[in-house]
Amino acid sequence: MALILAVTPGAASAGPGWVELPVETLQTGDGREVATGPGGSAVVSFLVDARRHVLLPLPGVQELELDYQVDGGPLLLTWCAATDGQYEPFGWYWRHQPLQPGRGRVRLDMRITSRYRPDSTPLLVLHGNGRITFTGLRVLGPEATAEAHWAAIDSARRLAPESFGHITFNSLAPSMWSVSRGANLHERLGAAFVALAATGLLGAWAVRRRWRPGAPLLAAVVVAVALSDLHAAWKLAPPWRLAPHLDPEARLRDGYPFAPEAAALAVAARAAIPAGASVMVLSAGGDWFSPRVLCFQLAPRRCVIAHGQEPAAGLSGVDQLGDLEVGAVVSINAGTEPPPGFAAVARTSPRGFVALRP
Amino acid sequence: MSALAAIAALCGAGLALLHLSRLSTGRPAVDLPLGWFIGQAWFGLGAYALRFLLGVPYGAPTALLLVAAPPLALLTSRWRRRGEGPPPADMLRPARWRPRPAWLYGAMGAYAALVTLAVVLHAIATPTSSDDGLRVRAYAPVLALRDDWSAAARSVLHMAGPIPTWVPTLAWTVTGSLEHLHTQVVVLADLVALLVLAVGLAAARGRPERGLLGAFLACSLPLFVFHLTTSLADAPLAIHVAVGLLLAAEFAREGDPDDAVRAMLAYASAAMVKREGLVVAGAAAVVLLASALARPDRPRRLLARLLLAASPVALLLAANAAAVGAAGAIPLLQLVLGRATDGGVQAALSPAPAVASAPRAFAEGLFSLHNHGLVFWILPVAVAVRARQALRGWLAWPLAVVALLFLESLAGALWLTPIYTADGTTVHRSLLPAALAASFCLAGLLAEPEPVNVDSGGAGSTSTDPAGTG
Repeated sequence: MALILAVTPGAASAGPGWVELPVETLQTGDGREVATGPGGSAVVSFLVDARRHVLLPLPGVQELELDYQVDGGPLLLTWCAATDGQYEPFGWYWRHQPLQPGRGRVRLDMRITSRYRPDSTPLLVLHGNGRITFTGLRVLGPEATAEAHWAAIDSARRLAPESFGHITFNSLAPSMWSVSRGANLHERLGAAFVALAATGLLGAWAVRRRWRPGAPLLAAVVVAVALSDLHAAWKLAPPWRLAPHLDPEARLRDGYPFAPEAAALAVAARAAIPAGASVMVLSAGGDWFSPRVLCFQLAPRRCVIAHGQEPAAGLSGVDQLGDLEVGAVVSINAGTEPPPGFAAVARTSPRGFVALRP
Repeated sequence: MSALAAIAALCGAGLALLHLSRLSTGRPAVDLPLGWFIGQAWFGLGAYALRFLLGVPYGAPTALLLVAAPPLALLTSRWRRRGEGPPPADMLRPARWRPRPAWLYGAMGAYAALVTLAVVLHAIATPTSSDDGLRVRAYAPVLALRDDWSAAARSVLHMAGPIPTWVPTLAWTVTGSLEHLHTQVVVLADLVALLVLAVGLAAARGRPERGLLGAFLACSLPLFVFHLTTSLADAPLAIHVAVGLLLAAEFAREGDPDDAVRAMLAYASAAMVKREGLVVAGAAAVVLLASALARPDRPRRLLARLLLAASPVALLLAANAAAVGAAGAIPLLQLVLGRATDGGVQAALSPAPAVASAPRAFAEGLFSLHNHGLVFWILPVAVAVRARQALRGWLAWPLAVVALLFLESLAGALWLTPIYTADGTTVHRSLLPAALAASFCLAGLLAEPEPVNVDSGGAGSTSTDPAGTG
């Protein structure tokens, strides 16, 4: 309770059209605690134990702004649109943000998420281990008409930034010129290039009465590619990390924006586990990525992943360890206490720890 | 810092090999990047062959021996010959560094430099964050450092290829400290070397516009640019193939046999990147051999030189066989045979619904998604508009490489693994070599001087527009 009382609701930062809502509007299922903050307003607090969904049952919300405080381990916030009971948090339009311990404010644009329509409701998915307290909630509601709402969606999606995930290397997200009409931006650019080239070539021929396609073709290519580059730069610049990070641990700590708990645990494990020790990573749930990050970042130490009831095996099945060979355990979401014979030497959250065999 | 020292050492080894084989151009802007690619192939294949054909353990002594051998051999050779040979042919060619118009091509060069800077900054700030990188590409060097090759570890090596497996480990073995960043730094060095080579080679041959336009178009491929920061090997494979293509294009244009041999060496190095490298580089090498056969001058001697330049691939196959067995010596062969006989794993991987939707997914990959910029829109238009230069001139050979690379992707996408096309997992990556090669072909096509008829009634004398701008 002391913790909750320490939280002060942030001042409304949003502009015209934004509405301040009571944080109790957020539906979080079981275990939600509502308390009164120092200013007399309510705050909502609950535990995140591996995964937790938060629903804002207000159709048509375009953007929302949340004031929060995180205690315990870092959390990963994913926001998506629930439409007709369906939602798609991951994939091409995986929108995510790490929430580090401490206070902060996030602004979430619902219009750039997958499946978003004017009647969608915001759904937040929190991963990690810790307590989050929401102290303020503001929303930008629906437009006056469906047409205006679709126009706002089209505008947002046209310039939506890329959101990197662990499968982005397969393909960048498609850019839409108009979601409402199903018009692809890149097809428009390609068609514009063809039209520009044809116009330039015909114009040059009309003026010179000779077939000299070099200059008009080059001009059309340069203009079209420049526009494509401009769009690519606009999309890629926001998630790119352009400040130099020469310290390996700093690079690791900040370098997994979609797996903040794994990053924090990897930093702790690299510091705590001796170079020659063999490691077992314990994990549970559907998170297949974090254990792989941990084993990889602990190389060249031998490392196996024990995930649920599956037999423990290393990356690509290379490392195999007998129980007695394991000198260190790194646990992410698999439990709160180290296995028998191991003592915890570092913790990043209630269910994230490093333990060594004494 | 140790990563940069390792790059310099490998570059030195490659330069020494170029001098030993009398393939140096005498132009640092060409030799240095080419030396980097040759040095990587020498080191990767050397470590692979020593380990699996001769059973020599990998460690600091082996690594240092491999790096030092070429410079020592060059010094010995120089001492014994004690005389300078004839200058390289490139030194006799007029180079031109200033493009025309400078403002246009200068802006293109500036854009390429800006993208390169962004790639470098993002890559060195970002740890390996792709699943394939964690399990294969960036994990293979860890296994090489350990030098403990279980069957599963050999399978990872086989997928990654010897260059991605051993090259990042050079500094690790010497310093005794593993820093994952080196895997990414090697990819960044590949990018810088490619761009320097593209511009340097074109300038050395009097056409800097072609190099700058190629660099601009290459840096306009969004998925390629992103891949450079992922520590995966798809972008390096595309780069190694593009290096060969640039040199093969010069051979097609000028007919210098040394360019053909340099190109074949680059293709041999491409065969050592990823499991797919052999197939991708093989297609490009076939076109190079065909272009050599099509020349009226000295084809027999040139063919012998080309086969000699391709001989490292025989060593690669032998090492593959020793590492993973004869059936795996030629990667993907098992996959293709399994698919051709409609049995095995591939039958299960390609259920009918996936096959049905694969063509649409492939077409979307070409024209709807932003992965390859506008290159697949522009290339057909440019070829159609400048059909004479594209199909009858020297550009026909590099364009044939693009066509073959594209057909390989098409076959893979629609026939070999259509399920991965339908779900969008591999199709876009498989197009990277074709997209990058297409960018450099486009640069050649667009910056190629147009024939200008200056005939004043005489016997058909023609000239060319030096700026290529009409």
